[in-house]
Amino acid sequence: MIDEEVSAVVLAVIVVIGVFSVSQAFLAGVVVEPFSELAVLGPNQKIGDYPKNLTAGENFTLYLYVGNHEGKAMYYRVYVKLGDQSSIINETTPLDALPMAQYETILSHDQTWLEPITLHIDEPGINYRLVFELWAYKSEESIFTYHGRWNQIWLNVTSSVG
Amino acid sequence: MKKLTLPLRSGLLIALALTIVIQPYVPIVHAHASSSDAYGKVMAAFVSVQEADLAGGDVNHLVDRLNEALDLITEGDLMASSNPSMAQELYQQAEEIASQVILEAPLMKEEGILAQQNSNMMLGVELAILAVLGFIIYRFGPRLLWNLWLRSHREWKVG
Repeated sequence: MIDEEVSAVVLAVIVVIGVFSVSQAFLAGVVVEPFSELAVLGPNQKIGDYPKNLTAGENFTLYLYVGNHEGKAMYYRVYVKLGDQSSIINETTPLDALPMAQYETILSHDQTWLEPITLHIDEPGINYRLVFELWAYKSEESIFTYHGRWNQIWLNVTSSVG
Repeated sequence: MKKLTLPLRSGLLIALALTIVIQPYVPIVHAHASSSDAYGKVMAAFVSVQEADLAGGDVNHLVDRLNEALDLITEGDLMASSNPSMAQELYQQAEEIASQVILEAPLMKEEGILAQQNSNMMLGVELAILAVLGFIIYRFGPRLLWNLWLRSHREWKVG
């Protein structure tokens, strides 16, 4: 009687250990929720101290940060575009404007990339939106597609004359 | 040394003369590397790297090489107007790197597949050992447990 009870407990422990081991073995390296990161950091490589008021043609430095957690190597392209208050951009629609700059990198899974970039805006204006879009290369279609990640910085650019 | 016969000698002379006359008009083809060609090559290389990666190969080194190629293209783009020949050289270098990566990627893919197979085999062995151990413990565990219990309590006396 006691032997049967002990056997049942031993069996239960074995089953639990077995299920845990098998699940760990199968789930090892599987990315449950793949995602990519895009961030724009200020000139001090921090979230902050972003330029707000610039002179037309004035150079300013920012840092681009891209992270790959997609579970596979990814080929990213970041487009920098200039928009305004009326510009439309969201997770499915990129900004309808020509890029003023583009940056590319290829990252392995769990690899990140931090790159200083220097930009300038020649046209004066207020409430500019400097938009950064993350695009990724789709091997199946052999094209870059919008990856749904974007950042923006609001800027006022004054004329350099007078 | 054997002396050439007259028809053979005259034939060689005619061929030489023709070569000299025609040579300036033969178009010389130079391989002009361009930014878009280099990008195209990097994209092709990336596809093979991604395949190797998905097969479980270690592609970190290949990814670094491709980023080197991208840097060369960017550098080339910056000097394309001021120094076109240098830019072309950089594009050419980028294409060469991408070509090397295209050659290396299938090897990484094979290594990945092999590693995956080994890993699966190890998993099978581990599961088999676990099953055998489970059976042994289930079958003989209780007896072993009570034997140990009796040994550890052999000093006890029934009052």
